[in-house]
Amino acid sequence: MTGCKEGLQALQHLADQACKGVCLNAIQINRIALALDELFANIHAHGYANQGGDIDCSAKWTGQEGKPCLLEIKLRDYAPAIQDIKTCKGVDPETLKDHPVAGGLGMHLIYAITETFEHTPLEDGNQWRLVFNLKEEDEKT
Amino acid sequence: MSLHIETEHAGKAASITVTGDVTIQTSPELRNELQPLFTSDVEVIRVVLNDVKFMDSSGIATLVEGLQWSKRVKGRFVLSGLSETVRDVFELAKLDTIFEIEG
Repeated sequence: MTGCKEGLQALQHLADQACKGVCLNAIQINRIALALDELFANIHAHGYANQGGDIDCSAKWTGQEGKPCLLEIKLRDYAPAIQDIKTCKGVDPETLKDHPVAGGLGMHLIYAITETFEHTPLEDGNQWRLVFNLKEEDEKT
Repeated sequence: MSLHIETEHAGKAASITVTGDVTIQTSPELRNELQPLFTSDVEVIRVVLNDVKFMDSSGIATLVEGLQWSKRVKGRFVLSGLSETVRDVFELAKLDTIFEIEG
């Protein structure tokens, strides 16, 4: 998949199709699509400086009977490796009430949506692992 | 998906009806529609989002500019008709209590 605007559309379509038929509700599907959208957009804008680049994507269901139903999605880019993910934390929404600023919400949304969000710097890029706890989400919604 | 935007004026109020997904690709269209209002003499801007099913952080960032405008000029920036999924994004971002949301 190419890290460009067209690639983002393709990723959204992929997420939408993957979620259909597995009994996820509208909010769960929207959250998965949103987290992928935000990460993909960040890789495109910051990793590839809006010039495009490859992004590999894989997904698998995990979990057993009686345990949470987890969806693990991995994205792998070939952009310059980020050494300290803490620099990408984004804006703190708590501060927006008094000092509204535009931008920086994407990473906050990813952290809010996912059970686990991990970044691994590689020699030639970055790996991103997102885990969605869909049973828990189901109870929330 | 492209964005369809209609703006109506009634006195010192403006209503912007948005249809489609508000994403990093389409949010500049919404921003272009809002920007002139921020320098006009309107006192109330209502953004009607009934037909928006998906909004990402770039869309929210565009609306935060409306929030900034309302604080600057003591105006009202109102979001109306949020779908279940869009409202959920505002709640995730903890912005549901910061924006004036109706309907």
